[in-house]
Amino acid sequence: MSRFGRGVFRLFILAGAATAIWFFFPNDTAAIRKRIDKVAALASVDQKESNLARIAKGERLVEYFTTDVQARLDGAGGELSSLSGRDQLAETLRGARLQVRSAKIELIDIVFDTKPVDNAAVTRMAALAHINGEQNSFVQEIRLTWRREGGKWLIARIETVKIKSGHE
Amino acid sequence: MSVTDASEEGISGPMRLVFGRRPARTLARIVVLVFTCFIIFRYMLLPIRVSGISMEPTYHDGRINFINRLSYVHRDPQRGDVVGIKITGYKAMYLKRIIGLPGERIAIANGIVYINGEKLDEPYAQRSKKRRWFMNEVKLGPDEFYFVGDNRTMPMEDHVQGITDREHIAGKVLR
Repeated sequence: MSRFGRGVFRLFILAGAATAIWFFFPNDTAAIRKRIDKVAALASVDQKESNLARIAKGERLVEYFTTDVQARLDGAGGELSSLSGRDQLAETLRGARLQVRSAKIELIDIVFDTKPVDNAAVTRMAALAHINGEQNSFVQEIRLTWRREGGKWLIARIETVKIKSGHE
Repeated sequence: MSVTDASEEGISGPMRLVFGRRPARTLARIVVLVFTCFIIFRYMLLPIRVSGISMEPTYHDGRINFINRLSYVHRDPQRGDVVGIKITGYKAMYLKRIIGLPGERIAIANGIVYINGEKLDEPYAQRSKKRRWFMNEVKLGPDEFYFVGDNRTMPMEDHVQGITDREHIAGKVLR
């Protein structure tokens, strides 16, 4: 092989190694972004799914949360609903998933308020929900507080971010 | 024996229809066009699709429009401007009208907006006789703007409105 060919070959090996490292050992920011994509996919409901499949998916979704997860969510009309603990979250998700025909959830425009450091991170994003095939989506800004447990990033707190009204 | 230059003759037949007489020049034009479109739609004009009814009758649900990201490079948002307001980024934004400017006091009584105690004339707003909006006075900070939609016939609690800062205003909507 010529010198040029050997050089190109080495470059390919290096590029392949870098890609493998990036894929199998993502940095914490990339790891959290992947977890967020997974949460959105598991939170979505396909109308072709059976009730059993919905429940199973819901159980997998709950594994992305800590056991002591806190959820503070705005409902219609500005009410605040609070959930505490993974069990309560699982029960609420189970009920919600069985009631809708379909739901497409997207978590986009992710920003890190606190980058991952000392096993903690805070992210904000826009949550879009298309319910029952409707073209228009509900949109809400949400904040997720992350904690690393057992080598995995889990959601310790989820809350909606209210628009400033001046009456706080 | 004469030597003909292939580039002078170009290509013939159906390929000429696609690539033109000089493929290299065609390719260069395509590259310039793609690059220009990239610059325009990445940094200057942001295409958006209106979702919802909060800006009726001015902007209809499902319509396509553009946000001019360069609108406020040299000037501040003005009262009456319809703007895109970032939630956390550019993929999902609120499309609303600015009605309050920094430092002003905003109140809504019986569906009418008052700025520093004076009634604001809003020919664009759609109101309902049955559903009148009320909001206690709000004082805006030095970098704060008040935004609201034009469709005031919907319940106020279902209508996204409030205070934003300059940084979250992505640009002015083209009309």
